[in-house]
Amino acid sequence: MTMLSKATYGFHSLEKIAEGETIIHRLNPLTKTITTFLYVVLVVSFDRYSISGLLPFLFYPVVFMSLGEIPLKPLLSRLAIALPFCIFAGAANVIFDQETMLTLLGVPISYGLVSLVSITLKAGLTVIAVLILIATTKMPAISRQLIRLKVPTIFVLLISMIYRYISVALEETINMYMAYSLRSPRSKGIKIKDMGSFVGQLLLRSFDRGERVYFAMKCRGFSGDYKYVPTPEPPALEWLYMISFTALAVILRLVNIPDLISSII
Amino acid sequence: MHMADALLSPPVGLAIAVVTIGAIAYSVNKIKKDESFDEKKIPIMAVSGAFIFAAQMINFTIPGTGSSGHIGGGILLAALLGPFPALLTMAAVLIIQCLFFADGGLLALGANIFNMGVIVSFISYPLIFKPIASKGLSPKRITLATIAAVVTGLQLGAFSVVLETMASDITELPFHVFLLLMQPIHLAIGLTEGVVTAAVLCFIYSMRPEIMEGALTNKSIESKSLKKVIIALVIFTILLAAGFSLFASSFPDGLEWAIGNITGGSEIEKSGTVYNISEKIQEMFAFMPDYSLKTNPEQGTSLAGIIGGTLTLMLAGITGVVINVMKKKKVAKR
Amino acid sequence: MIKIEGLKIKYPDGNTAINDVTLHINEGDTVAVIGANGAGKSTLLMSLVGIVPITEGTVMVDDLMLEKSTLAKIRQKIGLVFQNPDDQLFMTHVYEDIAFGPRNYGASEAEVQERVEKVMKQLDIKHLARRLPSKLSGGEKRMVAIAGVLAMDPVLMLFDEPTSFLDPRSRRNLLPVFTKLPVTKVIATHDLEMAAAICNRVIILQNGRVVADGIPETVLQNKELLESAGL
Repeated sequence: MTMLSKATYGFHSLEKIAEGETIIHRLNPLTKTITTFLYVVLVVSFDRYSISGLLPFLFYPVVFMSLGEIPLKPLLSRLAIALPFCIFAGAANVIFDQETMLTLLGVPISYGLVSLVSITLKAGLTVIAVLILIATTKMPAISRQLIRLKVPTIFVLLISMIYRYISVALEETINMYMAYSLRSPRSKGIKIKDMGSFVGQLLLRSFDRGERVYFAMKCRGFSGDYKYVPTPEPPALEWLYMISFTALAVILRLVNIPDLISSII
Repeated sequence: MHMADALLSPPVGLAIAVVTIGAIAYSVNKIKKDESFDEKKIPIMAVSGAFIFAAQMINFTIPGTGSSGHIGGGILLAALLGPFPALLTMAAVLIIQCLFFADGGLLALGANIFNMGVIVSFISYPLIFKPIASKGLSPKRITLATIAAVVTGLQLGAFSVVLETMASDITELPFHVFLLLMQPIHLAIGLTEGVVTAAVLCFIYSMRPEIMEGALTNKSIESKSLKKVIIALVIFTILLAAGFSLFASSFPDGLEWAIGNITGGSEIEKSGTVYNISEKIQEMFAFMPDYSLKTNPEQGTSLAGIIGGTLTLMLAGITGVVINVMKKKKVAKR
Repeated sequence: MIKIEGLKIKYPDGNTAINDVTLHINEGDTVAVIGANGAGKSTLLMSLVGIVPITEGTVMVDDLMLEKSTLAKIRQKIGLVFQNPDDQLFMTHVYEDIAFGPRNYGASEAEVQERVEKVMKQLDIKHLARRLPSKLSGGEKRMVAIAGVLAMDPVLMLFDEPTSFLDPRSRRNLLPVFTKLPVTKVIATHDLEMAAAICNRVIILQNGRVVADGIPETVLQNKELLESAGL
């Protein structure tokens, strides 16, 4: 059950980081959403053998993590979650694509190996980009931004409430698991025959709690819809920033800087 | 089954995101129009959604194998909340997992919600779970319905992942090898998940039967809208397939190579049936534009290119250091 | 202020939670409703805000009769602080949670901000504004829950076991908060000490009926009465 406790810890530490006040934190959520999305799309659009073209895109995480004062630890744990499957897919490439692409210092490098590196690089960059977005944006701002993007209120309310109750759910699950394991010392994890009542019990409790929350909401005037205040329009300066960011990113996507540098040399 | 961004190409990711957004909008609409939808459900969806998130991390031991499993939760939610609330809840959970727990990529959100939410709510629940369970709820029926629905949902979901990855042209893995890897594994996963989910549903039914009964009597999908759903799915599949290439030509090569390496000889006889099947699959996709295995790498692959790359890396590193030093100076000044 | 006449509440499973209660609550009262578990305290409170449907009898709030059409108005006048703060704090930030009520009743953002800040100042919780509810201590959660209800500017506040989930210090800190609240208060509680300390009236519920109603000195000194009521 270390996964559960890890999840709780990671969740809380991320919230703390999001409360910062750096220049990145203060950017309008729409600005950050657009730039992150653009970044991810461009990184992913490189073909499977690109490595040097991707390298300039490293500037984004380096700069933004420094400016945003985002610590390295959450990044590493997120990479640990995201990378394994990518490496598996890339490993398949190493197996199936063995034709030599180039020779580096006398060692033949296959197409497959190159694509493995490429996929890993892409995976790392996209994960970092999302982390930067989340680590510098507070949850209420995220909800309000979604409203601005015309996401239905019921869905936004759902997302924010799930976010709110995740730590409660994690805690209750951990508690019940500890109680269970105290009475079944030898088994690691829960026996299948007990899963029905274990999960079922917790789910029923969720339903009961949900009902009580509903009453609390009604008592304070809830009527099915909620008047979220949409986030303000990003200031002109940020629009300028977005345009320059887009221009730079697209240029970097189309022009291979490292090659340019080496041709000058 | 959470896909990462690196496995998808932008066109595929965006295309399926459009389909998913459509499904979500449709569900919100259905919920708004449904008179029997109690707004009480919203916090219930939220709290049980939060719990499903936690439940996905509960390990249960599979006897005899020494390994452990997890539940996905799609059918569980659908059986307790109804298919449309379940889709919204699943989508919300996946969004939170992607953003806050790095489980699944941003671009891949649409695909993940589709594979784990839309397929359950629009296919395996209405076409499999509901018909069986509607005939009368009993532990036997519930178990049968659940296992069937979970297995189907996971098979379709896994197949979907394969299609999406292949269409994105990221991996060299031949289509059928990928399938052969994904489908059996997910069959095993589906069976165990199905058994556990069935146990949970039976428990809940024994304690609070009205929850599942309420979800079933909801007039979720009628046959008219079902047709629409199927049509949408077909269009989506064609979009994916038509827009992007599969390596049709390399099919036989990859297969022979794989078989040759595994069996240590050219087993043309043995591979006959498999070869025929792969030919048939190939025919299916034959209308797609031809794909050449090695696209011309845009980047230079010479040593010089690597020097350029290293210089860029160094520049990036230096930038980071400079910013951090400047920040520390600022803090010291205060 | 509140006139309860012949109230009867029967649950669908047949259990009669409230069995003929007639009660008047006057403006400015701080009433303690005590009773054993299952005596009907929570049910009584919840019925006053329309969460639990009434089987028989009437409830009048000032000149409004409690029924479906008047629920929204009555909930603006009467606020209920739930027993478990986690049931009540459902937004992602404390500020957002306190603002929930005023927003639902149509206040403009400027008004909402004013109200929330006023209430936070009143309860001395301004420092909690940007915190996530799940990370607060029991006492802090309780204060935020009270703030959320207070922000709706009610004339009467109901409290369901407010000192449960609290450690001794938080409990001590809560008492002066109650006395400073400028509203009529009805407090369902097991905490006889608190009842004696801050209430001007004590009602004992037993099996859904009122078996005592008087000043704390009289009611709480009556050992036989308390024992027979299961306390």
